[in-house]
Amino acid sequence: MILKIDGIAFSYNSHPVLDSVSFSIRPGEMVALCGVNGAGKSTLLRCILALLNPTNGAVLIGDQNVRNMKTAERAQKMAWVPQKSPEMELTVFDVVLLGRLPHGSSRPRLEDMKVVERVLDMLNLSHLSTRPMRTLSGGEAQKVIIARALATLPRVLLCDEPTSHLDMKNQLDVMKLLNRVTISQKLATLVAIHDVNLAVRFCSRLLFLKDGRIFAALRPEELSEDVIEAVYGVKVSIVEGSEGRPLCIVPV
Amino acid sequence: MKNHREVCDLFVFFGWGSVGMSGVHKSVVDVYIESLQKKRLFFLILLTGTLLLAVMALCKGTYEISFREMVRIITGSVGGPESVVLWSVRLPRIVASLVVGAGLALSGACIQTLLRNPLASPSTLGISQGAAFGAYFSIIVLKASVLSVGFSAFLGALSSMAIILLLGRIRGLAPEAIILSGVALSSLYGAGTVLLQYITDETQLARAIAWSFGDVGRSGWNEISAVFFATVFVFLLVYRHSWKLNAFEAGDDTASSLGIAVNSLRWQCIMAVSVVTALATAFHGLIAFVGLIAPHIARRICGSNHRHVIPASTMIGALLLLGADTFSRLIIGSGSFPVGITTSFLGAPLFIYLLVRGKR
Repeated sequence: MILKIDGIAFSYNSHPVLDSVSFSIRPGEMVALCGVNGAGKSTLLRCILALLNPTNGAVLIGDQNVRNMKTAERAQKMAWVPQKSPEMELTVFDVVLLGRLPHGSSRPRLEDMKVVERVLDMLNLSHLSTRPMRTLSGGEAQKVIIARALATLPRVLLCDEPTSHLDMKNQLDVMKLLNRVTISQKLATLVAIHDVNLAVRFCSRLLFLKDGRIFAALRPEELSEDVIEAVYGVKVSIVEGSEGRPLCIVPV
Repeated sequence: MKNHREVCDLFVFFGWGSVGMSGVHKSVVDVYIESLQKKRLFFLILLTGTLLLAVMALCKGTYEISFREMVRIITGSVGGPESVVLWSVRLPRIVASLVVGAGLALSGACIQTLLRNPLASPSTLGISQGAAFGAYFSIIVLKASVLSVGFSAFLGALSSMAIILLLGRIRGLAPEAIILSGVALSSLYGAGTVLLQYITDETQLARAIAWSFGDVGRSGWNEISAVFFATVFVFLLVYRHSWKLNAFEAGDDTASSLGIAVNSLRWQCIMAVSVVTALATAFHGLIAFVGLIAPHIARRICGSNHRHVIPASTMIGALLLLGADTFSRLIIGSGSFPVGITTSFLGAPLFIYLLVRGKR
């Protein structure tokens, strides 16, 4: 199902943060949401998730307005991966099992546990299932959070800077994982991310937020130094890789 | 296929394990279900320990009753002074210990989860201090009877809860702000209590201070029943939401994204456990640390899944208060030593323990 954002606007105490933001994401497509700190990336994700009420505009999944969905139905269709989860005492299995909460029973059923088992297996996390979350490394914990999101069996995956506190290897692992599950599960994935290098490497499209609007929406191979300079105010040089896709972006 | 799944669900629901668990290779689900089943043994041990302690507490005291005599009294074949001691003195005291300990521990477990603070307890929201102020006001200003003191303490506790609730609902307070509001209210009620102590005479002051010593021996069956029914009702309410309470550990935004009405559930549970705490405090005085300690012990033994934390905290709270009261009666006092003093002495070692071991 297509995720469609249609003219979303939002203000914090009459200070406008988002102004008529529109775009759509197809199933199996992973899109990066980039921009400077305070550009409104996290706010946009929260508006999509209905954690915040936009002052204008609508979020549609397929042809259904998210606002008109019941809370549980909305939670079944959209899953969220936060930047970092608080330290938890729950075991990995219990954390991933939380992803089944939107499916409505008051206590986990065998069916829910089987879903968790499949997701842990798919993400190669089965060996961690009995470990308390607080004993995991940052990279492992972030993968478990992704597993929790996938256990919901969502159609839309929203990630809020999922790599910001990880080392280089884990950043690559997490982005690879998101890319893999986006394609295999046919998810519409939106990743708010600071690292443009990771974005061009793993995402099929990049959206740049500036002054509350989509300043540029382009494929990685269309990215230019001018766009980066206009958004971030930094001069960069783009080193091109194969097929004209940027290999890396270096500040100069 | 559907029937097979329903059968499997029934197996899990009744804790009989999943089909195919006895195979050589255990699946992740099998391991999880086995870990759930192992907790049953702990609950059985806890229940047995509590029963044994209750029987010992019934028999032991200034007036010794043998086990055989106790059985004969309970079955109604023996009367006399032993029967009076057992039915009118020891049994209400033991049941009060179990019920109040369970209620305070249940409240503590919920408040720690709902406010995401391991050092939160029923007194964090200023409920105990509100109750104390209500009792002091009743004794010193209204010169009230024992029953009115309990009622006034209950109103004092509820007033604290109502103020926190109003602030929280109207201003949308975050968990940290709720705790700080509780601290502020505690300080306010504490100041009011000190003012009342200052303006009164020595007789009234002695009566008020005697109220503030937590004592499970002062209540009758009506008061015990009120705390019992409130505790059972709140236990059922909270246990029904135990899976959702797990999501509170992940933070409000994550819990909301999982379809939980976070604020509504938080306030619903806080209101419910506040009533239990208010009743327990109003009728039995200030009993510190049971609500703080019991959930910590439960989490250390059972892990953090609220499916276990809620019943384990409740049972451990009952056992702790009964143990503390029996210890007070048999070792320290001459039959009527206030248990609140004993439980208060547990506080300092616990805080040191938490600091040394790190928060959990």
